Amino acid sequence: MHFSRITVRLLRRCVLVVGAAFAMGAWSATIEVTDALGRKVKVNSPVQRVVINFNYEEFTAVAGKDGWKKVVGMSRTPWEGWRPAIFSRYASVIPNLQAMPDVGHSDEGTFSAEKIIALKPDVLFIAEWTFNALKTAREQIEAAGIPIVVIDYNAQLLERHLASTRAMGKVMGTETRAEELASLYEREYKNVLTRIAKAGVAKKKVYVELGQAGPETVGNSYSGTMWGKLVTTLGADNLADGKLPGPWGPINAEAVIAENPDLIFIAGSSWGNKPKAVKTGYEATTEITRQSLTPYAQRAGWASLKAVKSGEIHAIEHGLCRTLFDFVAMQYIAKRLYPDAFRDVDPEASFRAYHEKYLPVAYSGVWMLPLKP
Amino acid sequence: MTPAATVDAVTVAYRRSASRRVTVMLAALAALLLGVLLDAATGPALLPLAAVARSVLGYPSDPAVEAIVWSIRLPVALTAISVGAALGLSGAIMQTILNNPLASSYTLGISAGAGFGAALVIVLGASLPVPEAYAIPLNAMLFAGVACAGVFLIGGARAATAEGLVLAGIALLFLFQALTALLQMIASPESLQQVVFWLFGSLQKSTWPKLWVLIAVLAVCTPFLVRDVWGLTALKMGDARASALGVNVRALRIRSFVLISALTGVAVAFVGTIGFVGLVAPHVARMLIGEDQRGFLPVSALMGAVLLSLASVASKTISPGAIFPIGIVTSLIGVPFFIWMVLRTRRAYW
Amino acid sequence: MSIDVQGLSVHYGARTVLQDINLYARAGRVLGIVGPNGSGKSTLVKAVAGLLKASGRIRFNGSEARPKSVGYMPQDLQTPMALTVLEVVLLGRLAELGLTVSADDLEAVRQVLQLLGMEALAGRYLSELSGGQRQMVFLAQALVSQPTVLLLDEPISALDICHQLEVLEVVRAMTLERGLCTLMVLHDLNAAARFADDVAMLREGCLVGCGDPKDVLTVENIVTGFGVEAEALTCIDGTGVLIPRRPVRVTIVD
Repeated sequence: MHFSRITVRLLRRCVLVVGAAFAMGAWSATIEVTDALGRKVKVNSPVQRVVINFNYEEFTAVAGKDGWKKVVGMSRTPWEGWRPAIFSRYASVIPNLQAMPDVGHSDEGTFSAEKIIALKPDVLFIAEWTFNALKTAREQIEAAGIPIVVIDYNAQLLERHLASTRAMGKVMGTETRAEELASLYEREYKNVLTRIAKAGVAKKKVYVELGQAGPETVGNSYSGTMWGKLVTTLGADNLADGKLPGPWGPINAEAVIAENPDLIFIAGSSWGNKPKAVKTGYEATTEITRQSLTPYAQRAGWASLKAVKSGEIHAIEHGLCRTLFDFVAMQYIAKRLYPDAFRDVDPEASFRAYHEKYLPVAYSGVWMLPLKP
Repeated sequence: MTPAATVDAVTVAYRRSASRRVTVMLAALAALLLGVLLDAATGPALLPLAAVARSVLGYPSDPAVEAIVWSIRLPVALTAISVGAALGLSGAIMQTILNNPLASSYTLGISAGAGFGAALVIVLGASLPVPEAYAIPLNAMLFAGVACAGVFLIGGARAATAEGLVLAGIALLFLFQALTALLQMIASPESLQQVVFWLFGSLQKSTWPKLWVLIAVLAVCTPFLVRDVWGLTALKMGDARASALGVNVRALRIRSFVLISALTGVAVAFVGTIGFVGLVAPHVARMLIGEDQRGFLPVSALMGAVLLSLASVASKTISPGAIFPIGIVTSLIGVPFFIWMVLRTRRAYW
Repeated sequence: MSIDVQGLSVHYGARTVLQDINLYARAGRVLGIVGPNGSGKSTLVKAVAGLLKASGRIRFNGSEARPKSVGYMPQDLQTPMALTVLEVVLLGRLAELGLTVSADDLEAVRQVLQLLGMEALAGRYLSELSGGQRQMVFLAQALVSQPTVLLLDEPISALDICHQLEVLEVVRAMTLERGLCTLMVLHDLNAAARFADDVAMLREGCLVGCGDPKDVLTVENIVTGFGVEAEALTCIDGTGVLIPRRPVRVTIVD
């Protein structure tokens, strides 16, 4: 009798303790994640509610299609607004994407700490440029106890690509997949650099311009980030270097002609209402892309440029840079810079393979194309 | 006219003006309280009113609601009334000492100077030893002071007539706007965006520490204003009459300019350039309570606070879920209101 | 209170505005100051009020110390529309006012308004009053601090005839009743003749004449002082009037 009473009391206490543990969620572990900026962030794992503001294809690759089940908020403009055709493809395979609550976009000043806090996320994935632009908002979010993990693919730095990928994988609990992707990227990245080192060719001048507003407007070029960084990493001279007051902006048209670049890349995409833009993406065909690129080659003074005369003017998808698959863009540009060293490399095949393995949408369309077949 | 009747007239007049002052100030305070509550209750997160009320009154609440109400909304609401008060007050003083109904720190280049100071830090100032969060407000205040000094020096420090100062102010407005435009031209795209948002004005960067600074500056300026309250009223009768009554007009103008530069500088430093508050608030106060500065100054401050508080609420409700730039809201509210006031007035009040 | 001015000179930079002025004003009498534009009339009054740097001596009742309350009504046309009569007159006691208005302040205002017959207007805004009433309010402001000296710079220039008379009569009555020493700058020579006990005429900063109106306001002095020919006429009640002579009206006949 005594014995059973003690047992019952013990059992009751055990139940209470376990119940309390359940109640406090004490069985969820706290993990420490190192983000792209080297910050050490503590996150309660597993996370149930995620808010993310950029690099959505990377998130999809790392966390898988199912990872989206946990997403409760996003910045719609950088995906739905900037890449509407891509967004709608993903929206058709990810159920909650179409109606996802919008937390605002820092460039437009609509990024709202309030909205994020009200969504009660367990973690916030935020791009480096938003993190640096909005100090007050991020202090408010952190004060509300929401951990912030910074991801950065814009810098086009290997370490940051890898750190961002691994951080996302650790938080979302898909570390194996993340590791696989990180290794893939590192392998391909280093492969490109090794081949370039062996090639030993003189430096060529490259001009990259965002081809969104049509040939009458000079679009943005990049220096030290995004395409600019990619070009210099590949051992070429980025024409925009030294000509921009900041990391991006339009260059004077005369300067381009005066510099007479060896290669020109016009970054296009599948924007919504930009009829004069260079068209690339899932829905593009070689005819469509070439048709949209031709007016650029016909710009005043461009017929005499080395790049145009030798057929080295290309369309390339703007959405390829600052991503986990920008190695594909690197391969393409490197192939044009050092044809002999990259004879056996096929960027389209790389991209197709990446889609099949890691993305829920099918590969199609045109992403990188020279004007002259 | 019997003696009893004459006693009545003066006492009646005095009591009426005193009670009117009290009534107007109480009504303004009530409006202010309402404004703060509305401000705290509105925002992109679209929280239910009951939840906000519970949190404000101190009842235990959902931590997300607590975080939103106490670290975002209340600082914004209280900053709105502090900045509004500072702008209303500085506008009132400026209109009095310059004897000009269009004078305000916005129209006379003080705000533009502060804006230029902030833009300078944003566009060029990576090399300052002070962290950017402090550098911007400090430089804004510095240049507000430069603008005030410029108005005074160019306006003719010797004579310091109202007309001279107003013309100098307008010249400085154009100068600082041009310089800021120049900065915008050479700015990188991110800096440019920051500058533009700063020029639109925004309450969204309000924090408790900034609020304490605002309140501290307001508190420090108050005793100086109290001392000069009759001198400022006398100034309404013209420099000659004021001097005749023993007011040192030049010294009074200099002191007032220092106060204006402090109030404007600190307001603009934290929330950017917000126009019209300093222009409209004193006019409303004048219509309600006349030019006796004992009532005019505090009511101008209160009206400024109410105006900015309502503008803050409006900026959050115009497009639900987003925040409309507040500088645009104050202009959109201020201009028609101003026109309505001018058309409606039954007696000349200037 | 009497005012004794000796050798008063005022310079604005290189320009001499007043040159060696000597005059004597007695208590209980109105001294009218006349002269063409730019002759230094306002400057003289400002100097006596102590608002300007001047060389020479100004003695009040024999001593150099300026009396505390000098009622100075400048020629400023700026009118604060949004102040009430009560508030404007209260400002006359600026030196004594604290943040709140005391019963003494109110009593002083009451008395002066009563004196001028304006008590009923105490609560009205200046914008609601006529020009003459406004001048009376400013006069009340000058009087509320119980001055012994009253300095008025063109108090009636902007008023119509009946308001002019009203103000002048009050000034004269106050001066007599309270034994004030009043200096009043006037453009209207006839008003000066009627309402001033003594007249001082200035021309280009110098005193042309000072004394009884009959002696100063002569046809010759008008010609020298103003460069205008005039005729002196006598009214039925014996007061003299000066009429400037103008060319005969020319009619055009075609």
